[in-house]
Amino acid sequence: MLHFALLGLALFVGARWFSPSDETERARDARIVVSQSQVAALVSQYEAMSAIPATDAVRAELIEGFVEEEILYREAHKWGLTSNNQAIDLRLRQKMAFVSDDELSDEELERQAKALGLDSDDPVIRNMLAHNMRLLLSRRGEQDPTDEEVEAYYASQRSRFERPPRLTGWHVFFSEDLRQSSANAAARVARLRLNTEVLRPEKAVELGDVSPLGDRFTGQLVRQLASRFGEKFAQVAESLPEGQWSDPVETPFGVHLLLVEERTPPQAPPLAEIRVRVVAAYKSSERQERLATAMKELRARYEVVVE
Amino acid sequence: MTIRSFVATASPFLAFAFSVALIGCDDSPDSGSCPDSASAEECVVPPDACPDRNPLRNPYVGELHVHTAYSFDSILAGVTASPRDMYRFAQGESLALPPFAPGSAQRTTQLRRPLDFAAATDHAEFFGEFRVCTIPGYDGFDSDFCQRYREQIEVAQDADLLREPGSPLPQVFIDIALKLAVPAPTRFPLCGTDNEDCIAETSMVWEDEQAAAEEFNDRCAFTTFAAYEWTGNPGGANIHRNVIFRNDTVPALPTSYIEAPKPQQLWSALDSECLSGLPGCDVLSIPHSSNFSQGLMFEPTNADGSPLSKEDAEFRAAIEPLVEIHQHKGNSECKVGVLTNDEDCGFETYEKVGILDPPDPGVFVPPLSFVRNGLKEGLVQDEAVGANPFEFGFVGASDTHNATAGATHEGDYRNTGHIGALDWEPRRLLYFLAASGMESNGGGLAIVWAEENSRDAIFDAMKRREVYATSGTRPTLRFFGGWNMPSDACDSPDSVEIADQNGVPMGGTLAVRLGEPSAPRFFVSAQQDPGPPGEPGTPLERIQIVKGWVDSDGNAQEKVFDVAGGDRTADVDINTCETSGSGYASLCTVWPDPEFVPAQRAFYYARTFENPVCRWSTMLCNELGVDCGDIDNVPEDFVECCSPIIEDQKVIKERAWSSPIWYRPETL
Repeated sequence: MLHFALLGLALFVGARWFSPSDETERARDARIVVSQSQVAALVSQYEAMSAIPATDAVRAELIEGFVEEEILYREAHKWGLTSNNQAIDLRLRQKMAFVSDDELSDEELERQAKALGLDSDDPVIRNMLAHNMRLLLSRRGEQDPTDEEVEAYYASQRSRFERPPRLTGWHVFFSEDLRQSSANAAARVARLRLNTEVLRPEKAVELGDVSPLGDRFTGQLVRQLASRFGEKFAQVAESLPEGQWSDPVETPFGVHLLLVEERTPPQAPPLAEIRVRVVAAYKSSERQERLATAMKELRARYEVVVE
Repeated sequence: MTIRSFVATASPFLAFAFSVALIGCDDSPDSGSCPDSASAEECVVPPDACPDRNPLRNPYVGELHVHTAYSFDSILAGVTASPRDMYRFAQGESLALPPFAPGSAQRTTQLRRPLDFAAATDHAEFFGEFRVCTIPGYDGFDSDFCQRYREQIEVAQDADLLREPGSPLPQVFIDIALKLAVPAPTRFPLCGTDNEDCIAETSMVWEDEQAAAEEFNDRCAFTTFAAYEWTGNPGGANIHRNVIFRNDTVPALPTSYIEAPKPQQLWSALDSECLSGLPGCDVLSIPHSSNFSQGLMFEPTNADGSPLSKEDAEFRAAIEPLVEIHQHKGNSECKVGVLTNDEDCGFETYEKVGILDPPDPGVFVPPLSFVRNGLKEGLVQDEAVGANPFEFGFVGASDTHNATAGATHEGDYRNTGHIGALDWEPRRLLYFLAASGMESNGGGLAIVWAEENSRDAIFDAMKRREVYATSGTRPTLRFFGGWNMPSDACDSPDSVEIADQNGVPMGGTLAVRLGEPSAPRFFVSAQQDPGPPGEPGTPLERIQIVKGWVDSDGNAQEKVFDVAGGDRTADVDINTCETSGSGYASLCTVWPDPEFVPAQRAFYYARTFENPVCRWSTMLCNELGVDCGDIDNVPEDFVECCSPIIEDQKVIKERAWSSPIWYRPETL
């Protein structure tokens, strides 16, 4: 969703793509005062939600979060994110219509709402603007990455793109349809035999019944095994040491003894195979970084006073 | 309004500046041949086989009918999820569902079992208009229609603003529905000179759909397809098609009902812009919800009403190899009393004739609204012109408008619904089912028998129809037909290999057998769904084979044969939903057609049933404590629990349908 909205924002801002460089304006806004009552409200909200008393560290974090939102809110105004924002306008109209008895035009509702300052103390509008400001900061100056950048990123993040393990093995099957309640006993007997006698898996499966789903599985994801044999079978296969027969495992079909011959380790594919996904992940990580840097810069421009 | 609602408003914005330009040599491993201009190292060699590659094919579970916030009826229902959110959901991540305000309304949902493949099939109609409506600066932005459109998006995200069930549909919905119901549709008058604004914006949505599919296609593990839905309802007849592309070589723009108000025009656009006009492009069109097509879905005529020629029939069969037989707006296989007395045809029926009609239980629906009758008509056509236009394999799908691909679990459906805020709470879901007749169940799945989980393997399997439909669960179903199928094939550890060697798989055709006459023999094997984690699956009840043929008078006939199982008893208590009795974990048989006549062309498909369980509505109405015997004390919100549509369908048997195997009394 975020990605979606990010893309939209660029157009949304459109022609109002200007940088707020007016020194006087900056000077006026460079101080943020956090009152004790605001701090108390933050702390009590936190304590109500978490049911834990706020420590000093938490308190500082809450204040910092509040300051960050305030900075974003102010910056959003400077960047012109408030004008011609139909979502805000609708919100203001709704609020104004709620408090006013008169039948007013949309324009008049918006004008009166702004005059009453309904926009500046509205938590929804504040959140929305802070959110949009984040989108804007994270998107600013974005360009498609070069091949080198993508390669370097992939090299540093390979584990994120690893493919899950694949399992190859066998199962000896004891059909419940054929054996009813004796399936489990038969499986236990066979299991004991496999303890004492070394049987090739092709031979071992002959200790059981014909499995309608086949007696061998090749290169399967755990989820594929779960879809056909059930969760229990898949879980055992996932954790079973290679080359070792499992204890009897019950499924709706009967009882199984599993052998995993090979478990491919998680493996990152060649970049060419998943380039599109890597580029998408790269862009998203760049955006996070861009936002963090921008926030740091902005934060440095503000003086924060906790009264 | 919340943050999220703003995001939704902004969500259709998609800046061209940021869209990923996929140019030059295509590096998708599944891509076809390289362009001539590309040098050797620019082009990727064919990929290695997947680790689970299996010449006897693996079953991959997915679906090809999912709507995201790019569909007008999703976003107008408060849905904000993008195609990317949908793909994440399909792979097992959780997703937030509308309404998003107030806080008490917030809910999330997650698949119990991830899918192997999925495609977003957003309504291609008005892609551009709806973006114009959300981007200030376009002339159309301030139009009345756009204002109402934006307002409804806000309303749908906030439970406090939602209209009561039963109030008239928002005007904006009606405006759009009417546009899609006229035979010569036009754009909304907000597209600028020569519709330039809307066309430009359409291409951005389409590019983003493609980019999302590319980002999430994970060869060997999770397959995606670029796709859209063509949404024609002329005169209220639902003749919708999902258009699915093989890979990332696709036409520049989708073809919607606006550009192509007849299916034949859609196919010819797909032919000229893809099949024969764009090297490397391949596409298929999947009709769905024929059950309220007013009998038009399988009309054996051309756009001008003229009868099909052999070439017409061949073209149609090639571009439409599959049909969606089951989804949330009801089952399309067959209906009791409509050229059949098969009692199992009363499953998840959607009691109306066309999309704009009110629900009308027991209403007569034109025969060619049902797949089985379409298949029979196909045989008649084959007899007449020498080619079968309706050689359909079967898929199931959800048609969810929540971007929740694969959300077909019976129990989950009662909690999540499929249409955003419109069916988000019990009284709304019940209303949607019974009074408005908008949807009826959690829908189905498509299970594809493919060598591996890659675009080419799955697309090829769909084209050869080696695919089956389920009503939402995951039984395994295999079906082969041949002249020499060994009668003991089921007993062998290599049964599938034997069946494969001695026959054609589901979707195939048996040609006439020269020499000594004998009946075709069908290997059919089914295993129960083992169930999602922590929940036992339901055992199988039986397997049937449904045969259709053309008799010596040229009339289509049908008959249902019980071929395996069916002699154990099982029941479900409709008050507690507890099941009792027994069924089969696995069934297999080799069935020779006892009534085979070599001169009669025929189709055969397998159908397997699970033991009976409570329908979602029964679970829900029980939970709500509704007692229809004491109707005066049923809360008004839940009276729909006692409507005939719900009362008559307390118990269901989940099922799977194999694609047919055809017999043609001609040589191949």
